[in-house]
Amino acid sequence: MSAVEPPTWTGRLRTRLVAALPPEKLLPDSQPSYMASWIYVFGVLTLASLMVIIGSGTILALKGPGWWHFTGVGHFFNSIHLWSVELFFFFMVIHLWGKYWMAAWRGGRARVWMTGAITFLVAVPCALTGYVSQQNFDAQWISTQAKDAMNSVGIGSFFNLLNFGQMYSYHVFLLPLAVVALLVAHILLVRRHGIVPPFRLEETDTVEPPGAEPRVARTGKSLPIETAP
Amino acid sequence: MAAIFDLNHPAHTIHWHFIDLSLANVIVIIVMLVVFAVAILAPFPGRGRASP
Repeated sequence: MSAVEPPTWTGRLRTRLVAALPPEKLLPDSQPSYMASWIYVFGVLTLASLMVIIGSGTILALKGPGWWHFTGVGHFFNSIHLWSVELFFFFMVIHLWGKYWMAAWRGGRARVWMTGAITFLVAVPCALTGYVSQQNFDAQWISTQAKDAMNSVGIGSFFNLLNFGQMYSYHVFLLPLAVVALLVAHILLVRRHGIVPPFRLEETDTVEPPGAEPRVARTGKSLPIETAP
Repeated sequence: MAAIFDLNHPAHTIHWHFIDLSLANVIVIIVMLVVFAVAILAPFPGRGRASP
């Protein structure tokens, strides 16, 4: 951070943002060697699935919720949308299991863990509102059954499953917006704090003798294994 | 999928005490556990290779 405080709020904001997340942390070109494991792949697979969900969902939204019932192309995009959601949750749950058993909240990463967990919780109603947006008997059956669950916990008047307009708005705008916002926060926090190191490596790092060779990432660049501030 | 599997019947379910799951969901959960185990145990390509 520069010694002289910028005179404008934009300058001060920029200074704080760059200090919190410098470009080499925001877009790193190397990662610690312990990231060379398949279990670290599931976060980005979840992200890739979400991109397919948003892409196929945008096409379905452009054409309207009834389009997929009477055209082959519409049915194709509806199926892409459904199966990308299935993969999204498949990958996200494995990502969550992996991070849980790594205790990924270690080293000041509590907010990384919490944003990920809340994203999962928000993604569930985001997907479920899709079931009641199908415009068919399946949607009708699910909404009439699920409204009882909402009423039993006292939120039926706020979250009315029989109101198609409300459910569709939640499904295509409000909940996806929340999921994407939480995901952006999650990724930025991961970038800021770095991925959580395995238990044994973290312990040995703290007792590494002074002057020892730094660990070398697979990309060939020296990269000391960081712990979050 | 409907051409491969006969879906014209109620879902098969598995009961065990209070647990009541459809067979399809049980299969998905088992596949997830298998993929999780493979992700931990399978060697990652290039792991251990000396850096240039």
